[in-house]
Amino acid sequence: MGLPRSVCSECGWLKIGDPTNPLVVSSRIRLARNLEEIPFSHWATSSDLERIAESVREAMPASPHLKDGHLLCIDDLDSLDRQFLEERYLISREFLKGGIQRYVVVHPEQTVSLMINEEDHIRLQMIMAGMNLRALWKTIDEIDTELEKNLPFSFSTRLGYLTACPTNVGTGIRCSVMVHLPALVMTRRIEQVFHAVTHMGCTVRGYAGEGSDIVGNLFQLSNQWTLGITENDTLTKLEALVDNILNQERIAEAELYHENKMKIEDRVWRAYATLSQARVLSSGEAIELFSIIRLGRSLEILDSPAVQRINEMMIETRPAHLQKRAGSTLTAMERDVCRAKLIRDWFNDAIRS
Amino acid sequence: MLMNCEICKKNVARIHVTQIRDGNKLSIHICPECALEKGVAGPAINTSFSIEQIVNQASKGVTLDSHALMNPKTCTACGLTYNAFKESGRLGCAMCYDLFADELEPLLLRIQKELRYNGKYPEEGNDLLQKKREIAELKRQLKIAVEKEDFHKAAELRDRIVELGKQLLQLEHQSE
Repeated sequence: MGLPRSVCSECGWLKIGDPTNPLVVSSRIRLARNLEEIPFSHWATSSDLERIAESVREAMPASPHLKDGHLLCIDDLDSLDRQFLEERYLISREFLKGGIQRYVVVHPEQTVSLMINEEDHIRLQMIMAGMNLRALWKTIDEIDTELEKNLPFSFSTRLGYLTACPTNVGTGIRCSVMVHLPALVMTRRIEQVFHAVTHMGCTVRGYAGEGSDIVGNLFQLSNQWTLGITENDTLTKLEALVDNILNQERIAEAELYHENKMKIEDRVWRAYATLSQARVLSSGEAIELFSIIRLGRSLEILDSPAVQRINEMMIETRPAHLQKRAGSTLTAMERDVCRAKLIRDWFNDAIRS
Repeated sequence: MLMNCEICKKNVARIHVTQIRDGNKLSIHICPECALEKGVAGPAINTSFSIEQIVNQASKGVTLDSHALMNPKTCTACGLTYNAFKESGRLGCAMCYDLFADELEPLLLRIQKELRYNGKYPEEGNDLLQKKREIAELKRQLKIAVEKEDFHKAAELRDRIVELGKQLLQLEHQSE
């Protein structure tokens, strides 16, 4: 069994929300939920896991947001398909490994996905382009309430929603915003930002989530607290933090450009030249160059490509995406050649249009 | 490490009685002396169970729950040890939050804002779900009462669970 066509086609969530924001790539919210009286996934028997999957499957049709979702069994997908879903942020790294009774439900628009038998029985996720936490919360709260009508979630009045890991207990909510902060990195002010973030009950991670390196000046800001704070206050706090950091980034960008106009313009145009002409591009080099192009768009040095196109290119040129497009597995060198060709074509299209 | 008898708190607990009731696992860890003295008292021990038999087995060095004997802090509902939690960072079941409450409190205070839930509550409209949740909550309390040997409270809770179970069955019949 492979991926359904609607899931394989373009990455839907990149178009929804606020896709033209040069500083914010995406916003994401996930909720962790578990079913009553069944051990958490890692400690459950295979028949427990089967019961969980069965219960969630039965509850799906009653949720207008999930009823049209594609239910995919992770073990039925090959490693390329799994990686493809992970590159779109629709499944976690943990799910790359597969595992019995592990499923993912993907909405055709790909804004909503639900993992069954991850660390928690249910991991419900919503993702959109740009800064959109309120819209995400409104919908994900609705879906959660829809599911709750048919699924008895493990809940205590003292600790809220009970989760496998105590870092999620309570609201079980994790809100993340992926931001692009090149000027704060270049001016070495990013350390101060990190310091402030951890003092506000929030955390900062690299581009690919937990434990990942910082690449392309991309950072994920997310809430840490899930107990002692309402969902609404969690959002407000993170929004205020993101706002504050983005203001600092804008100031740093303006200062940097003002003080090094020619140097910055040269760097942006060199990145543009490389992306539009290179014959071999590694994913690491591509993502660093996209970062400079994005800065060029933010400072209005460049008027193309559109920010949405940069976001698409970043996902479409990741390894599994390239191989799905080619219809075969590719060596690292073949991928770098394909990546360069794809980006070149996009840039030439952008110039022509 | 050996654990102490849950009744006299002095002798080593060599007898570990586990009973499944209403789909829940109840355990008690006691010494042979107390087992004899208490006979078959308390809701944790099934009245039809031959306690003498356990005493005999225990005296021959056979324990019913050697896992719990080796790991004094074990969740009686799912069998996860606190040490296993420390290694993996993941709890075994909802009950672990109650049974490891003392150990988890400082951890939660370190990583969370406050030790008080402040988020959304599940919808109250569904009677069936409410009853199920209430029963689950009482079962949690029952396990704690048994852990603490508050057998009087445990008996009260058990009766309440049986009563709610009957109501739940009626509701289920009505909805069919």
